[in-house]
Amino acid sequence: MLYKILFIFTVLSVISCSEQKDMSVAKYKTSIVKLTNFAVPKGEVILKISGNISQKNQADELWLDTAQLQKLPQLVVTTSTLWTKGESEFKGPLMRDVLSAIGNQASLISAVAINEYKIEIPVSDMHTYNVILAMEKDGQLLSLRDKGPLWLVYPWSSNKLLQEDKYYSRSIWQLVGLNLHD
Amino acid sequence: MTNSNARFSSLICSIFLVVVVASIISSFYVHREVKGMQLNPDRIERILFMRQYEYELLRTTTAYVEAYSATPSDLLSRQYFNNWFSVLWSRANSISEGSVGAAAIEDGFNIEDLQQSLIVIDRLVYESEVLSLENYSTSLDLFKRLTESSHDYQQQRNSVHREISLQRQINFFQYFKAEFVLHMLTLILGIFVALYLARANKKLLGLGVKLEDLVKQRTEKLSYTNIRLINEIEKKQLTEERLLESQSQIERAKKKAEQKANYDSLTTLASKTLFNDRFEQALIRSRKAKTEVALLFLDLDRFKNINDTCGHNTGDQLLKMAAQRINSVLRDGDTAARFGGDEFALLLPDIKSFTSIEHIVDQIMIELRKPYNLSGNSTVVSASIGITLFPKDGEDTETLLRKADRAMYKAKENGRNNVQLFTQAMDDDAHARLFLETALYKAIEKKEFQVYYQAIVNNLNNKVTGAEALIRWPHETLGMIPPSKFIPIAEDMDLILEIGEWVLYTACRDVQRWQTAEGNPITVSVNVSYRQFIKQDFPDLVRKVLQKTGLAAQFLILEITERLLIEENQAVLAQFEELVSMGVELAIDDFGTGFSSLSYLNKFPISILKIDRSFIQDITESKDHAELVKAILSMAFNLNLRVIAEGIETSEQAKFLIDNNCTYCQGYYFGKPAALASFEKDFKKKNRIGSNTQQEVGESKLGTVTHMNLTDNSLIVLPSN
Repeated sequence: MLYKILFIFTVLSVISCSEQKDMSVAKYKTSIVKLTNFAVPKGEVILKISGNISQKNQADELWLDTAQLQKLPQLVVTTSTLWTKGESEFKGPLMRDVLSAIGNQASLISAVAINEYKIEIPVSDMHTYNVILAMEKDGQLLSLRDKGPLWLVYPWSSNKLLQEDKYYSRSIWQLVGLNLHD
Repeated sequence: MTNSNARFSSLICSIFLVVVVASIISSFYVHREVKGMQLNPDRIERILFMRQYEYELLRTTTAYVEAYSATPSDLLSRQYFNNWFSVLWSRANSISEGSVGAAAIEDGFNIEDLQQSLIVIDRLVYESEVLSLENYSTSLDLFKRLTESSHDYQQQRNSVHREISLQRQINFFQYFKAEFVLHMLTLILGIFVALYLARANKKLLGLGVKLEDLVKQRTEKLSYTNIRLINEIEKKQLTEERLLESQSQIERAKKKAEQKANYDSLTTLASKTLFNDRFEQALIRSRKAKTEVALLFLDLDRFKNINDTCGHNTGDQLLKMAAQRINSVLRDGDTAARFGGDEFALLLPDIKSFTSIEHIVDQIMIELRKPYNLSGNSTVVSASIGITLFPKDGEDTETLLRKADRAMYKAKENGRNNVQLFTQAMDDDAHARLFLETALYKAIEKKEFQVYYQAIVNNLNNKVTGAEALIRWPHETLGMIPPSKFIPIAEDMDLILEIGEWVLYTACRDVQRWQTAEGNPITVSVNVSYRQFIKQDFPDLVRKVLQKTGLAAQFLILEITERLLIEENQAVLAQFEELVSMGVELAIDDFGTGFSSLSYLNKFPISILKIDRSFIQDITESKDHAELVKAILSMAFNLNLRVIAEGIETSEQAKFLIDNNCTYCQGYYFGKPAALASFEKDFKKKNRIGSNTQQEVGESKLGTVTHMNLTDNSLIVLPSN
């Protein structure tokens, strides 16, 4: 009897002390978009990418305008955010598609916004979740006054694991520059 | 372990458990507090978010001042301001729409003020191409006010946050302290329990070692005992085996004894015991099957002679051979047994008809009659067989055996070499005989016998010259028993000696009395049995009796049977001689009936012949008998022997005898046997009258006796008054 009780306590304590593991092991997702040659943008440049990439159209950088980004496959992500009211439909290219298209060879992304907000994002995020480079919200192009023109949106509503501080901080809006490095 | 120890250990364990549980509970609280201290994602985001807002507000204000403080302002700085102003719009939108902003508004952030200010600034800055100084300063004031309110908000929020976290820290510390104490307690108790357990374990180990030692010792002892036990058991087994051995020996001996008891050692036929057994069984079977059982009693004739003449070995050999022959005839179920001597008993069960018995008996007789080759000599032996049948002759073995024995004796009596079936008459005879035997003993004891006298008359003068003493036995229930019935029995039983002695004595005494009383010297004839000569010194007895009674020897005539002479026994002859020398005369009784030879008339000192009544009875009718009597008389005359005719019943017979010179007669015609008194009377009358006729005899007076045949030893003495 005594041994049984002790044994149960031991088991319980071991269980409570053990780390909670990610039960849903995320699958590594690869992009189907191939390397793309981007011409010098004709329209207003909204994103400048530098660093360890193969595709470049401006000196050591790759500049992209809205049209070029819209040519990539578009995905609609319906989710709520901490900063918008209710659920919204965000539309834009998958970030891993963008990285694939630009010939990314790095594992880290340094993203910079107009408001001088900077954040380091691992490339693995893009291959784990359907992170999009949102350009539209509920059918409307994102304006500069409404967190536009580009907003890195995580699908929070469809994945609870994303509802965490680090992913909130990685969701950069008014994105203007990416630097890819290791 | 004692009871108190057990109680103590359980107490310690329960305290330990309670402490552990308490420590776990306190850990839970500590964990909760720590979790509470951890900033949740929303809050971090809100803090960063609002800090970002503050930064953006400051940068926008700076850009505004750069772009519009100096006139004319350059495009680049205006563009710069535009961007920042857009950023601020975005932030304001986020605060008003998102959940992060909502939390901030709840905390006291004035969003409406911000939105209103932005709208006012937007209108003031972008309404007209050129911004008036007044508008510029108004907008700047607005920026300043927004900055101040934002700072206030941040300050207020920080202080609140600090208070809460302080309280949490205190709580956390308290819980942690409690937990620490509990953990220490757990540790101490754990050490205590561990020590206690270790000690107990050590004790137990010690006890275990002790126990093992004890077990070892015990095992050794037990194994030693076991060995001893095994030895004992082995010994016992040995003894048992020996016992069994001896038992089987005993059994074998018993069997042997049984064999001996059940089988005759000489002939290997069944013994009497086995025979009786089988007989009983046969009777039981027969009762069920309603068949008959025959019991044969077989005796070899004259076996004794063979035994006497040829020796016992030869006799045994003969018995063996006879047994084999008997066995060869018997059927499978039959049993032959030797009852000792030359007596055999045969059991023939399941007899359905008498012919089967006849067949078997015939076979046996034939087989037994065949010559035996005994030590070189061929001998012939016959057998006498008596047969009884179950259930006709008896219900039990004993009866049947007895009756078979009787039948066998009857067969012997009938001249041997024959078979007699038991009849009831035999049994009756035997019963009568048995009865007589017992009666005889009594009679002797009680002196029941009487002596009768029959006159012997001289034919010439009709005077009684002598008397034959005849024994009479008047039995109290059977009446007068004739001597022919009881004398043979008395002879068989040797009672004849006593009886004979008594008769001799009585007769001598009576006659002597008459002689002295009447002065009539009559003779007395006394019958003497063959056995009296064989079994005793008879002359000695006669001498004693004569002495005792005072009778002169010449008045005594002893009547003997021819049988005594046939035997030619020298001892008997010597006795005869002695008697004759004493003066006693010998007469042959029933002359002519036996296997007598005339030669012995010379050999023995016989002086009188008594012609048997059977001759006399027929002399008047049968010429042959008449001639025979004449011849006897003539011969006797020539041999100088006197003759007494017996059984004369008629005057014709008397006349014939007178005519043929037979002087002495005896018979009813002259006088019936009578008791002493009546005889005396009669006798006196006869001799007194001395009548010439037989009718007158009764009146005759006792007178002189005429000698018919004179001899030196005068038989008839004249009575004198």
